[in-house]
Amino acid sequence: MKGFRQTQSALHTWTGLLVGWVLFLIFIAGTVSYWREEISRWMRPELSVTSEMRTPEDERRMVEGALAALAARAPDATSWSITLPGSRGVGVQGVWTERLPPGEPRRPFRWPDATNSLWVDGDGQPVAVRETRGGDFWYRLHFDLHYMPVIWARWFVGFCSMFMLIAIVTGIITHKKIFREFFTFRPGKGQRSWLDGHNATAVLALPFHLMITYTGLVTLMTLYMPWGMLANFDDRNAVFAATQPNVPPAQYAATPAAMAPMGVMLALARETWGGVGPGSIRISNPGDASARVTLGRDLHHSILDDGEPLVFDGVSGALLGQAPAGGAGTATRDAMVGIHAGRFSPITVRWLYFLSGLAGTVMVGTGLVMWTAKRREKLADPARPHIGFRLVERLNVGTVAGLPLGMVTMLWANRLLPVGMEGRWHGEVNAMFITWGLALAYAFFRPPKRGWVEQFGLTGAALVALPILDQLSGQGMWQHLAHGDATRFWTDITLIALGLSLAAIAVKVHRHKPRMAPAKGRAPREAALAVAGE
Amino acid sequence: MTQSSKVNRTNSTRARPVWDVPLRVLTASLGGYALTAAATALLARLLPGSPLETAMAATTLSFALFAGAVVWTFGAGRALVVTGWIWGLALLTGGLAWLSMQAGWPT
Repeated sequence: MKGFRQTQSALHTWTGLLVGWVLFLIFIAGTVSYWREEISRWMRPELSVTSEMRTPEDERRMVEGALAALAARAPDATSWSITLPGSRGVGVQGVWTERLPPGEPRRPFRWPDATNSLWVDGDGQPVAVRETRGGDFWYRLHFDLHYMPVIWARWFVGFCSMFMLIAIVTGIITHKKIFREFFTFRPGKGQRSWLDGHNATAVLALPFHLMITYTGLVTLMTLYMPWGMLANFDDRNAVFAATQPNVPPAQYAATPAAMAPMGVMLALARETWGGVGPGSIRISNPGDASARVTLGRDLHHSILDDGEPLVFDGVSGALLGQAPAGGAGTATRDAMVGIHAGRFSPITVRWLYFLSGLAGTVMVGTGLVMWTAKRREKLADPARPHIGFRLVERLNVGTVAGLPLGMVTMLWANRLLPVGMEGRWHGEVNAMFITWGLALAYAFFRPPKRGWVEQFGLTGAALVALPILDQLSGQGMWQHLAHGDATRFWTDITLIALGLSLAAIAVKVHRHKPRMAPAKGRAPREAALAVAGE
Repeated sequence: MTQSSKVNRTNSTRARPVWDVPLRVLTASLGGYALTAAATALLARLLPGSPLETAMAATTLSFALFAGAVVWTFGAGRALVVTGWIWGLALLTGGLAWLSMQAGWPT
């Protein structure tokens, strides 16, 4: 089979480059999402450590507080949704959907914001919290993207993920001596170092990359590959119904009724789930004779991503139905989704997830840089590369360094935008994309080497400065220590560590002296400067 | 092995027709998806278990089938031959899945 490895190598290069920038975004946003709760906590400083939920007693008090707040704020809603903080978050969020007059068209979906949601603290009292999507935004970004319909985004992300899967498989075929290569690192050797860096990060976390890409496709498999389902069911709704409690929907009765006490339902749910409490509560037609309460299990206690929903009659409190017990196929699927999201993982495993995700982000980044490093030596005139080469080179700077800069800007916007600003979370998100756009544009106006140094340097400085800003505003690491808020304290330490790492990369690139490339009929110095992109 | 690889080398060093790579790209993407979709449907029909469980199992497997089809398409010696194989298998598995759904058999 001559040529098999060569064709696989070509396939690897081109599948990798074509979707590399999008994969970089998916990887970096997905990686930080392992700290979704911690980021949300950081972005909602109004909720302190006293709003953690530690015991079933906390749970009952906070849920009942949320119900009371929702009843006061939105008594005539078609539904209330309550999200519990789990073991890592703080505060309980209540979201409502307004009941519209009959005949009025449905309003488009809106994420929880200042006009349709509220927060309660550890005492079960409503508390004013700045409007932000918190860590949820990057979580959603990594498969829903932004500024576009989610269905298009998910198909596009799935397309890129399939490319990623191909790039990994062909990468393994290309590097059949993969384990020897893993122990090969030749620093300071230009293209060789990029190759070794790409291989090291790829191989070190190879099982993770393969797992995360494959299970990522599985999370949205009924969208991408519905044909197995449609071979056995009439349509997608029938598939969904087969996985849900068999309880027919209730018709709105327009008859006010007192609700059954939530504490009894919470206790029954905890018993059914073997001591684990709920992660989400949904109440349809609250305060009406047709009220239904659906409790979903907290997903932080099992590797299976299965909420095992329970449906109660909201007025009598009677259990109406529960999800059918799944078999091997469903369990395999739920385990794959569970391993992808890592919700089950305790803090040590969570760090491994995060570091593996970072390795994946670096793998994609170095892979992109390698595309230019490999081709630079073969350029006809290195001082004036062709347009395609220049485009890839600048897009690399503007994405690999520019996107992290945009993400840090979002954290800054979270602190600097006025707390009561209308549409505040959109402001935070726009700040991220505007900065990224500026970084991309700026990359085209600077020599690549300067671009790397400036954008990595600025990102590093902006990260380190965030905890300092918090300290100056009187809500910094010192206070976190004093209040015993370990999560916030370590979040700040991590921000500083990431910032220092990026600053170190910037310094390294700045000091880098290109080797004098062997002269092949062209002036060595000119060639060397071209290697440095100056 | 050495003999055959020499022969193949002479073949592949000969200039490839211009349509070789485009045909492979089309076969790997559209053909690969079609074959995966059909094979997933057929597996969902044939695997033992309840309709939901077999559909779930077949679908979780599908992306591995897809990746295998793509690697095969680009690794195969001749583009036309592998195109025939991919679409032929897609038609075969799809046809069998369709027959199984029409007949209501095995479930």
